[in-house]
Amino acid sequence: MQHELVRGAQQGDREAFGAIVHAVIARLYATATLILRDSELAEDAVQEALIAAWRDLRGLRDADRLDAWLHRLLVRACYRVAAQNRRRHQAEIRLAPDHELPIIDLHDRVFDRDLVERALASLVVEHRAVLVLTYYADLSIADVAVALSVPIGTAKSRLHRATDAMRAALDADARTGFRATGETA
Amino acid sequence: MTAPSDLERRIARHFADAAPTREPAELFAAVMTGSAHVRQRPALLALVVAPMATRPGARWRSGPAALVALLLLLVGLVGASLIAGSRLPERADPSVTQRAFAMLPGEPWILYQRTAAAGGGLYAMRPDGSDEHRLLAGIGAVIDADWSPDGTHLAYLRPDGTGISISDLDGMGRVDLPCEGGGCGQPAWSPDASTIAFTQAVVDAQGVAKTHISVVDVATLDVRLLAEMLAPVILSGPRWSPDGTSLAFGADLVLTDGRETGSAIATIAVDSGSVRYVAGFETFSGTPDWGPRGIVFERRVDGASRPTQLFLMQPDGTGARVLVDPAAGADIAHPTWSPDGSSVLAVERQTGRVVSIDPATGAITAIGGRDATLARPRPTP
Repeated sequence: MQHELVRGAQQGDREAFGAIVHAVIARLYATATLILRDSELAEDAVQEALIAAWRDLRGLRDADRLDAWLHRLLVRACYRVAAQNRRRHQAEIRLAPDHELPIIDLHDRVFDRDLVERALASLVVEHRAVLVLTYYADLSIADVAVALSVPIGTAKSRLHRATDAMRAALDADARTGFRATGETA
Repeated sequence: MTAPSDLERRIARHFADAAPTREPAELFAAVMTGSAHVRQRPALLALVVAPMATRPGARWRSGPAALVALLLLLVGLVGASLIAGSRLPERADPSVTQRAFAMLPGEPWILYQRTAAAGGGLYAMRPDGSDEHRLLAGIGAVIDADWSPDGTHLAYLRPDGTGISISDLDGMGRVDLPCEGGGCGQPAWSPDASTIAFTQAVVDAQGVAKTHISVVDVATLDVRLLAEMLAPVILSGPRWSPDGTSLAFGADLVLTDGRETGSAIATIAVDSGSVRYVAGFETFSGTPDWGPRGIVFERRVDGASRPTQLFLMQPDGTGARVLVDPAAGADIAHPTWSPDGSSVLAVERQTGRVVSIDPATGAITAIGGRDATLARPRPTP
């Protein structure tokens, strides 16, 4: 089915492309939002990625790689949008409603989410991107490499550095006493 | 020290919690019409229009060949019949008093335009329908006319369709506004009289069709582009907010084969260019007019071309309510606020009469005129 849609879209069939967009747009948007931490910028990035997809779809040789290829376009768009908005720091992450969480787990999860969010915010966008692609988009390391337009080895090392940066940020947060304050609140 | 596996779990769990979940259809609309960069949004509109078109309930209008349809639609409310009408010879109307009326500044008048089949022409009558007479003698079947705020001048599309002019009520003192590339229409005079907003349909050197909403300074004739949309989005009918800081306008999604798949209403801040969609494409809303009590507009029932409901809503898109429902037997179109917001003028389609609508009750009262086109009747400001 996906092959037919891709083939149709490559031949200029807007309905086929529309069906592809319909299937992927929510996931692309969520990925962009996690990378950019801003819903409006994420919308811009998704739009830019989809326009690029329509323009360049004929160059996609293997329909099975559509997902990784779309993520590549999205990551590029995120980098571009982030570069254009470096001064816009205010994070805007939509959190899942608390009532969906078990009550007993609520405090710890909310608190942990806050810690992780602060750590993610301290990362450069390239590191956030590799973490989002790996731990949210659930791409294989090979597809992460495609999405990042880098060799597999580079993708692995970037993931490693990003994870290290996260760990360091969390440790630094703990040293500043955020955790103790949060737990006693 | 956090172990790597634990850290990975925390990151994954955080992403799962923090990832926004939005419906694709809602996301389409947001990505397509978000307020950030109106110039970039339409390109995606062109791409994703197909799934919207297949949405249940959306009805398409089969249309002529692509180019013809696009050109017709690009001129927005300047429909084919109006263009044809501008070339018809003017015919005397025995039912209309031919004597010249002294239209004094400050007097209330209603302006309306007749269909091409009825000979075209721009007419004025008092709010009770009396003293109906033709304006702009000798200038032909002018269209899209709008009053200056002081009621002493008119802005209108010239009969040859080449651009917008302003003149006295008798056609004297005409000034042609700049319209590089042609395709200008639908002038709307700002409340402070300094500026006229208008639409322009253009096809660039690469063959890309676009519509613009621009403003022109009446004193200097400097033109400033406010919004640009690529086909298949057609912008139409800018109307000023009462404070003159923003415009409301229509945006139609029309495929190049003439199928219309949605129409929306948006507002734009004139200074910042910030755009906000206040009625989505799926609502098939259009022809907004912004008055002291909100925005009045048409909504096509189930996306069909007729009949239309008239709606009222707040400028931010909230509080929408039906003003006139075709189920009650009325087919009313092209609403316009009276200056004080005490009534809404519109055109009754079956008769071509101008009617007044009570915004509180929806009660309709016939005013007068006949063969009114589907261009707005305009009360003096």
